[in-house]
Amino acid sequence: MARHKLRARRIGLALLGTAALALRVEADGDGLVRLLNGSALHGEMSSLSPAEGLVWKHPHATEALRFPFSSLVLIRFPLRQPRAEKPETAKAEMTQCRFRFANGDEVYGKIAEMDDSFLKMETEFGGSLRASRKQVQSIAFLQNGYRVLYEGPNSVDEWVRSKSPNGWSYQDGALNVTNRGVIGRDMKLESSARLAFDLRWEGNFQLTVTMHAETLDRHDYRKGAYLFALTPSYASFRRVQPGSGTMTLGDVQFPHLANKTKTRFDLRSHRDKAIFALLADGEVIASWKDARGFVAQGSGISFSASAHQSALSLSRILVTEWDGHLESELESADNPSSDGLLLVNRDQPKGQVQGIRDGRLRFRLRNRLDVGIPLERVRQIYFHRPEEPENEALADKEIRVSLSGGGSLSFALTEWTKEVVRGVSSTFGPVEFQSDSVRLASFNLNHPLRRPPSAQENPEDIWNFPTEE
Amino acid sequence: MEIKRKDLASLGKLGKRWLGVWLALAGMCRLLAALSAEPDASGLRDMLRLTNGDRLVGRILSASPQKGVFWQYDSNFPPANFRYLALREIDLANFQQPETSNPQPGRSAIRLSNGDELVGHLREVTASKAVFETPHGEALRFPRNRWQWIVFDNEPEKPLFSGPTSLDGWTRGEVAPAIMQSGHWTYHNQAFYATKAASIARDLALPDRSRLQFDLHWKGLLNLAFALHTDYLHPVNLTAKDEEPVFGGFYSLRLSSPFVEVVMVKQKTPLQYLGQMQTRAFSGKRKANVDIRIDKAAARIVLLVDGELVKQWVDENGFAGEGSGIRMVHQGQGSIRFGNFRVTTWNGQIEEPPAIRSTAKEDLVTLRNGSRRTGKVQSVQNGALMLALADGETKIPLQEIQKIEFAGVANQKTTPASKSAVMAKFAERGVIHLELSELQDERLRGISPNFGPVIFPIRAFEKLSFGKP
Repeated sequence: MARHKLRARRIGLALLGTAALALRVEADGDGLVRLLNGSALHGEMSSLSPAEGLVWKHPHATEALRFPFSSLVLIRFPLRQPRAEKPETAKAEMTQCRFRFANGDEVYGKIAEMDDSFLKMETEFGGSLRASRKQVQSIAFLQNGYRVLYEGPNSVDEWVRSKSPNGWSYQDGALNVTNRGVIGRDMKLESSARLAFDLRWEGNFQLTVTMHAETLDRHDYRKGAYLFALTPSYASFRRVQPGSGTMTLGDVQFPHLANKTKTRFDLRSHRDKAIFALLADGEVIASWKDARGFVAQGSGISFSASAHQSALSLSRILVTEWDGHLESELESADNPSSDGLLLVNRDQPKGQVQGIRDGRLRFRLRNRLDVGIPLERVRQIYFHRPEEPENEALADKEIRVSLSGGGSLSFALTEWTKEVVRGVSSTFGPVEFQSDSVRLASFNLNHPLRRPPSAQENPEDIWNFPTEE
Repeated sequence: MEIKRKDLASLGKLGKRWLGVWLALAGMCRLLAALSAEPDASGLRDMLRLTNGDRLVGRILSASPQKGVFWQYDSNFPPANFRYLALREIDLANFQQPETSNPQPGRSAIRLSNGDELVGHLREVTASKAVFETPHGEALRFPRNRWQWIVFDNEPEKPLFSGPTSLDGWTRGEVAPAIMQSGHWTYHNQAFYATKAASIARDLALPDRSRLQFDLHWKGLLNLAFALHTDYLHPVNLTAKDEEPVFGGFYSLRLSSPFVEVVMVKQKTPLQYLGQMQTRAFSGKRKANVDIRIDKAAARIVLLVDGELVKQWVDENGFAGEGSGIRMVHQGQGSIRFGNFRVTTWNGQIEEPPAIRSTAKEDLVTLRNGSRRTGKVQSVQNGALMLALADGETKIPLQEIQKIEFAGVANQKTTPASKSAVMAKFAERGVIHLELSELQDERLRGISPNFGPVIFPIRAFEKLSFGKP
């Protein structure tokens, strides 16, 4: 009975997520293609294949343009309407796990079965996928489900902006600001939040992100909230509590941003645990706990650019729930020769994963005792890798796609039409999925011009070939 | 070469025909020279910019309001044809490197009331017309009543240093990596590059009054410390300067996006801050021309950026620089390119930019010695200006004149842009407004409101902007 209630709750949450997705769909207009030589064009993809290259319809050109496959950097696709409804039960469980693979792929789906040689999963975008067990790096069981609260940006109209000054604008999947200003949105945050976004900047920047905000278009010190103040060299975390003002709960230096102009930030909050975390490019920069408990009541998120004359850009914003666990809690396991588990009671047994079947994990402890663990008791599985598997580095012809709702997949492209994408993945073998699952496709991932400026062999390439995504 | 109308009139039919052939051959030679000087085999280095923000690297083949733009974007595919009204700008790769802004004998810049600014040589002025010869074609004739000012180049002098041409003679120091990653300046194609914190220095035998000019390009945060009159060629940690090896006093000029400052640095003496100033001189830019002028006797340091005075600093305690070298320390917060470095002596004067004297009654002539004369410019012939004064007429050799500001010529009121309006920015400096007739075969043909029908080689320009009044 309790299980049924849990399932019903998950279905409800999933439906809420779908509703949120449906509401935020707006006419983004065009897609966008970027080339290695710095070109960037709006339009619509007609077809794509390694042999024939890209055929691209441009709104101001009399004929379709053609680009060689080797010239591509990325294609961004407009957000499409959610696909046809699927049975509620299936949909509720589709995003139950996050799978990470040795080649950097990250896939959300439901685990179906696993033994010592393969992993079988069900995904929303590609249906049933089967991966070599050797390629699996970790599996996170998302007990709260994986509820997408927001994915964008898709237009400036879905945000609330401060009246003046406000330099925020929207273009090509990014919110840009060249002056001061606040922009916010009610994300319907509840007990937890994970906000991930790409930040690009020119020169200096000061960006304050307010989580669990009640007021979206300005700093409101009369309402409880949590503030992440970010600059290129340090971050501070602050609590705003009505009647008590602003209190700095911690600050941290992160000088590794000094020579960058782009970073993916990942900010997290969890109401029950009153914990917060800041990650940059997948690395945990800091985590904090509010000893007074969680004081904020709001459900919104706002961004405030506070440096005069700064130019920054936010893109690939993804807001989901957070289960309160950092990936690093287990993946930095001190014994790399064993598989590791993180259980809901925080036990971290080491041993060997035997397999998963019928909702139970078969696990051989290091004392060779075999145990069966219900999957509801498992938060994460980390797989040890006795030897470096082959094909870990992406081959030159592989592309990587970012999927709607999170996750990414790399594969050698065979064919891409308006309806379907076909390719061969080093992890999953042949893959085929609907093309409207893809928000972004990246090409020529190993090309020298895609290296950071400090790694460019010809210094002039730093200026001559802007390959920003 | 100067060809005057009266010379043409004196030619016979045959002479005119030969002259036409000669001009055609000269133009063809110039075009061939331009083509053969391309930096790469494809020559596809122009940038097309459209009104929707799109950009496409390639090569301009032709453009006209009637036929649109034909653009070779890939040598394997037919050129693209874009609608003319979608055209915003074309950045032209300058296959002919423009002459630098270094002074040339007798060269001048003129400005007309519609915003045209051209660089060339003044050949003749009469009561109603002037004749001005640009490096790009025949002499241009324009009406006097549209002429706002003329500024003559400074007398050219042999630079004390011009470069960089290699790392020879430069000392690359080791920057202590306190927080940032450190590296070295590298040399490439007549410029120095740094992508990490790095120091480079040279004894330039700076005279008592010197002028240092250079071009900076940067990505990310601009933060460059420029040591002046130093005798020490390695970086100095200002917070622990007294623990450094013995060095003489110097001035540290810091150039950064939000501010500039000068600090006097001397061992066993507290740092003396001569003043910090918030400035927009570097804001919203990725490149700038920096002009530093130093007068030891006056203990004065002057900074100009892109021709505009930013700040002057005077050390009230007398000049403390004990060396004759310079040192550049990139602080490691971005990527930077340093080039076109030129050191000359300085006459101690700071030129005031020319003014538009629309309400004045008399022309103002400023001589190189700083004195001024007001009167009515009568003519220029044979390298001398005839100026009508209240008490008679005077003749002034052009080489004695720094600038002339003409009375009573206001800026033309901006009118809505016509469909074929083009603003063409010269690669060297200056701009001309035209009604485009046609752009084809590397030639731009148009009608100027000041000069009438004109033809320019398009590589004379670095940018064409369309639809500008």
